[in-house]
Amino acid sequence: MPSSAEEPPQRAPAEEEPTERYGPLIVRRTVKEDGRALIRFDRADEPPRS
Amino acid sequence: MSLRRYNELRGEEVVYAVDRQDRTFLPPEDHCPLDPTRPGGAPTEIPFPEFQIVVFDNLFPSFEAPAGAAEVVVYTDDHRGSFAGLEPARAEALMWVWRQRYEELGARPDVRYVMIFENRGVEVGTTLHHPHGQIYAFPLLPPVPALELAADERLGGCATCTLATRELADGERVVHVDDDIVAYVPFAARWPYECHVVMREHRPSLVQCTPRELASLASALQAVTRGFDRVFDRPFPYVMVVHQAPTDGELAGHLHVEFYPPLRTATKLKYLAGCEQGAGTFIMDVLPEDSAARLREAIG
Repeated sequence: MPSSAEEPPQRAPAEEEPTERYGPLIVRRTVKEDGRALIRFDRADEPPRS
Repeated sequence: MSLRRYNELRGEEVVYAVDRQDRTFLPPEDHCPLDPTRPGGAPTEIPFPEFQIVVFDNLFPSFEAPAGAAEVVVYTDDHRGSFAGLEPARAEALMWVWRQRYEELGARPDVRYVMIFENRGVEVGTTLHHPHGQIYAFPLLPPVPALELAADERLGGCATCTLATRELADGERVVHVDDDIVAYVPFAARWPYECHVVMREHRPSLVQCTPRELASLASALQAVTRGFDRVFDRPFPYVMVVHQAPTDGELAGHLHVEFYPPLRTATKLKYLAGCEQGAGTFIMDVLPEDSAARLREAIG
């Protein structure tokens, strides 16, 4: 078994990583290519659309 | 960067955001900048193949740091959707998004007032058909909220509380009511189907609302907008504005949402013409009691 120093923990892609919670929302912040801020709000309990 | 000049005759600020002259204007559906970016498709403002709600800095801002902000709120990836047609859970989530943006923008030292709004329909000047709202974080206190604060002083307390209590007691202009919300065409409406959706408890802003109240607000706003679409059996254009407390200190104000729909019949618009623009006095063709009855029936 490799030690933890040899194998860093796997990280999910940044886009998939919830950064904040606000009420029922998962909030993800990003910066667009032209520098403008974009915030994505997803309701944790909203089922995906078919 | 926008420029402000003070209009001495009117006693108000005028904002010049001349870069907005070149903003996107009613693009065809297959070039909508508010659609999701689909695999293999041209990039849009939203770099995801699907989304629930996104907020981003307006490409053509009327205000921007360090003197305010202008944001776009896209609450559905369905180009032909509407606020009225959202699933209730999505509409409720939008209330939380509004709350979060009000709280975050309002905490900025350069922001004195946060206005959340939606212009629906070309009749009120929307330039993108995809359903969306906007947020202006003002570096100044605009005239309308200032007038609301002056009304508080004139009436010796919260004017919105006073007016909502009167409307509830009268009842003739009420179009929707539940434990948390009352919606009515106001006694002195300035638009044929003007409608105010008001928190029954005194809540300065969305931040003071309970989760149940936010759900009730979403439900009431959807009831009203669905009713609008049934009044003339057509998509009903409106300006919808969330009125909240200024964010520059004192918690003065009362959360309510005002709708200013321009239609007076299915095909005729109420224009702001000579009397409204030159004198500041609105001349109305429809009594609020009559439009309230029609809207109440449409809400069902």
